[in-house]
Amino acid sequence: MSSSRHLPSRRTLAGLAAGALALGLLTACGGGSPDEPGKELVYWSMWKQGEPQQVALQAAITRFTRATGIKVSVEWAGRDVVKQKLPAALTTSKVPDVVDQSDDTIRPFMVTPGVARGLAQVYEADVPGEAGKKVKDVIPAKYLQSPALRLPGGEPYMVPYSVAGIGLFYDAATLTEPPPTDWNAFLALLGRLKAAGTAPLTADGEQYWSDSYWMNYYLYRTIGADGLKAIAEDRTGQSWKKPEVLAAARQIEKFAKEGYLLKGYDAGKYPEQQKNWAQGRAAFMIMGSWLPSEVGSYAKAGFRPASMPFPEVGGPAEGEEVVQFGFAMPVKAKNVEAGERFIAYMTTKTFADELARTASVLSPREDAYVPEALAGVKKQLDGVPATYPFAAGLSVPGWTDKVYYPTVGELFNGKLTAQGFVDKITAVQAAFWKNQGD
Amino acid sequence: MALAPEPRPGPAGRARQRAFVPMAAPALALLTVFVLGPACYAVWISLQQTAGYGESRFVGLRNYARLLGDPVFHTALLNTLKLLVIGGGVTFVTGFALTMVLREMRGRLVARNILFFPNIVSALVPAIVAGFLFNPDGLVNTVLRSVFGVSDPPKWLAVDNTFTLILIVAIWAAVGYYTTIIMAAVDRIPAYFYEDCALLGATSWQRLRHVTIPLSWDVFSVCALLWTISSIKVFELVLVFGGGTAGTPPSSTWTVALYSYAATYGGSGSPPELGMTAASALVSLLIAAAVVLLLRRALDREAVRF
Amino acid sequence: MRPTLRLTGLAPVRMAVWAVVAADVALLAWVLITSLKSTREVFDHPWRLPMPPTPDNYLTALEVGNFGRAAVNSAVVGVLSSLLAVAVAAPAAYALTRTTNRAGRPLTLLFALGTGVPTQVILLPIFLMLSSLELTSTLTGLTLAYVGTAMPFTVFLLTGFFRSLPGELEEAAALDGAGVWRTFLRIVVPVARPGLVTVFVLQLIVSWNETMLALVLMQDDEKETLPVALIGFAQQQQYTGTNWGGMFAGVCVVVLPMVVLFAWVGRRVTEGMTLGMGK
Repeated sequence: MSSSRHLPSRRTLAGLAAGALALGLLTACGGGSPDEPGKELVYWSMWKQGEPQQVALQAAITRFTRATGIKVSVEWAGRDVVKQKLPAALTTSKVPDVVDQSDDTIRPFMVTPGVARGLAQVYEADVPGEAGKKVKDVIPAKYLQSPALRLPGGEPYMVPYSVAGIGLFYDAATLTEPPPTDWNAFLALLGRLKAAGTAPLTADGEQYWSDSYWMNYYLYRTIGADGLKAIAEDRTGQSWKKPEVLAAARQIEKFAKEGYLLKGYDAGKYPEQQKNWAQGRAAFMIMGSWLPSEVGSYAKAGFRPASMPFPEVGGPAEGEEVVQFGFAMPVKAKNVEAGERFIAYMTTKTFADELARTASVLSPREDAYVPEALAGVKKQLDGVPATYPFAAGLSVPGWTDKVYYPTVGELFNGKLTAQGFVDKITAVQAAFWKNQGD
Repeated sequence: MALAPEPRPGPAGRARQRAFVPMAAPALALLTVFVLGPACYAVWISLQQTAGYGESRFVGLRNYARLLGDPVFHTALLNTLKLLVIGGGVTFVTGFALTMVLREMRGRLVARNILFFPNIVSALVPAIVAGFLFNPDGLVNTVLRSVFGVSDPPKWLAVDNTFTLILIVAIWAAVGYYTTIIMAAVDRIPAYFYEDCALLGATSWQRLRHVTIPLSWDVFSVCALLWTISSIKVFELVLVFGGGTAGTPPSSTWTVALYSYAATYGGSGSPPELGMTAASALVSLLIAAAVVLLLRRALDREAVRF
Repeated sequence: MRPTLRLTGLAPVRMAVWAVVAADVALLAWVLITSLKSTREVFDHPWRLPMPPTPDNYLTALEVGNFGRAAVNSAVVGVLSSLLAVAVAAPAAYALTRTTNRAGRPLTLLFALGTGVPTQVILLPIFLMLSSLELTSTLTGLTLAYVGTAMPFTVFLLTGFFRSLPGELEEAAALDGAGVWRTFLRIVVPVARPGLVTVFVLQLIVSWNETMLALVLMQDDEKETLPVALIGFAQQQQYTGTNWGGMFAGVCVVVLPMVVLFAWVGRRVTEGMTLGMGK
């Protein structure tokens, strides 16, 4: 029984292995011809091939290369670019020169570990093709001054190419009256909707980060973003006992327990509720301005997304929470000058318009095209004195996932009363800080 | 236990024994380089506070202390144990039962192969399908409402139930895997044992207890070992079920493996803490080792030969 | 040979089993059917047949999603790494079961414990090692990593396997004066073939679906494997909205080859799996 013929012999296997190794070495060393320094750069992007942002970026990159002769090798790496790919690359010498992501990803993964480069130089550069304008002139102060863009020393580490505000989105084709501006009028509207049989609100119950927008904004308006930050940093947790917190919790409890939320909001999986909203089963959804583009492919016919700002709740309202997407450079970048030129090139109005049009996003530039669905958010952001990231840039590892989101989530899903929420989050926060040690 | 040939005495035997070294060397080398070495590195990292790049600070056993005091880690440990014990129990009982049932069925091989199928698809598939099946307007509820007249179906996908769903999916895949193994093991029991049972008028329960289980015990104990280790590593299923690929699942559904992952990649706004990842992973490895040792003690029986 | 005893009253249980089997098949069929729908159809009519079925999703997946190249990468890395893993693990498992050295048992246990080491822990050290050898973003590097991380499971499974092989054949060969390697290759391996095939297929399945190492080790788009390409689609959910149809097409491209493979050699695999676990 000579069935040993069927199994590859040791020699064959060795040959295969050697062949594979040779192939691998060949491809690893192949690389490409060495270009002169300053004439090339490596850009790793958070977008994947085929996404609208990628289309706009690719067109701009082609123009950039034609205009400056700098060759850009771009990897359309996907959302994990700054979380997984960059950290691994930073332990080697093959570091990209430019990356992009949202500021709330770049800060924990690049700024806190100290590997983000300061980009003050970029802000002082001229915007190509726009006489007399520097980059710092076209990025409004409200974005530039935000803690979202700042290194601990104060220098900016990112140049944004798109900003996302948070609004209460609704269908302008169905809700034709002008949106209410204060909380009581808003509640009255919700009541009318409820009576007429439309669910006033919806949210994906298990996506705690989206549920917490209601709490975030109520607190921003009543105690300010810095106030929320201060509460989070209180090691005793007692600051949660402020009356403003209880007031906010009461409103959310009302939503959860009095049927303001679409039935089943706490029994589905993302993106179920977005779909329901886009198909007209619920009126309002509080979300970032990426919502219209996310639901585009399954919204009902004639759906016209529009948004209103968070209603006045009678607090010292200042500023807006904004997520900024933009370019950053690692400290170890090799082609620094080329990278800075690239980033400056991307602040032109041409690119801003193209990106806004293709991807339906808001540009930080005041003069850029504004997609119709985001006109409400733009208005909301105009004339605002300051913007900030979530909780004014709070940077306490684990607090959001272990203290804030789960407890707010329980409140939002109807499992806690308002007072119960206050008591629970005080205790959870105290336990959290105790465990953190010093 | 040795059906292997008797070691030959004298120089020929010693030459044979020496030849075994180069046979095992490559595998041992690879094991050291790719598994043991990195595991030791992980021990070192677990004593630091670092993002893996940038700065790092030696903190001794602080990470372990933080683990022990973290209620989220306690939940994760509990979930992992639930998976291990409940998942394992249900899987093996169902596996044996299925084996008994399938033996008598026509088309048993087809059935068995199809039951194995969940093990070859990515965890994304059941997660997405569950989203469509069990959402409030999904197929299951539609059927419940129209056919069975249930007006208020349970909230299948509520966060409270997510872990139960995860458990069910894990069991579903494991049943396919282990039934396959157990069935093949039981198939090898010679028929004359069963004929004797028939002659003695044994009930099916007695047959199970006195013939089937003892003669497949070896296989079962290896399976128990395999299940222990793989259940402690369950990670992708929890990630995809609870959070999709863009978000982190709610912390009430975490297993220890997901805790490790979140310490590096998943935290909202949290910088990566490789030290915590390594510490929690090592704790899970210790638990696996402890359970494995316990199992060996509990399941060790004189091998029944036939 | 099946026993002649009939277990009575099993009809409902048998039906339940066939129901589960049918559900598994239905699941696969649904994924397949949904991959032929546009995203809007997926949401509007998830349970109907596509009208008309469209291959657009597959085109998108192949071109834009890079699935064509990723499939080739996955196939090459999967087959090579599984072959190499078996080639290295088999002699080692054999040696560990036949040796009289006292180190034999603890070493086997070491391999067994190695299966418990989670990937996220060894990810960074492996990356550091491979990048110092300039092997990141190469298929070679990934293959090496897969072979290395396959050692615990493959050796462990194969030791059980070799331990159950009767020793008479080797006795006969030794009497004829055959050396260890000759005995192994010409006598033992052919008899052990079912087990080797089993381990090969199981390892192939693992490496086909492996995500973490591939994501971190492969920085280039060109060198992506299928699971990474699939994640690329799924992640578009955030900020641009998922292309659900495309994602289903991607899932099918990942799943179907495995289903076909298993339908073809499944019987051999499952038989082989148990041969090593007895005694």
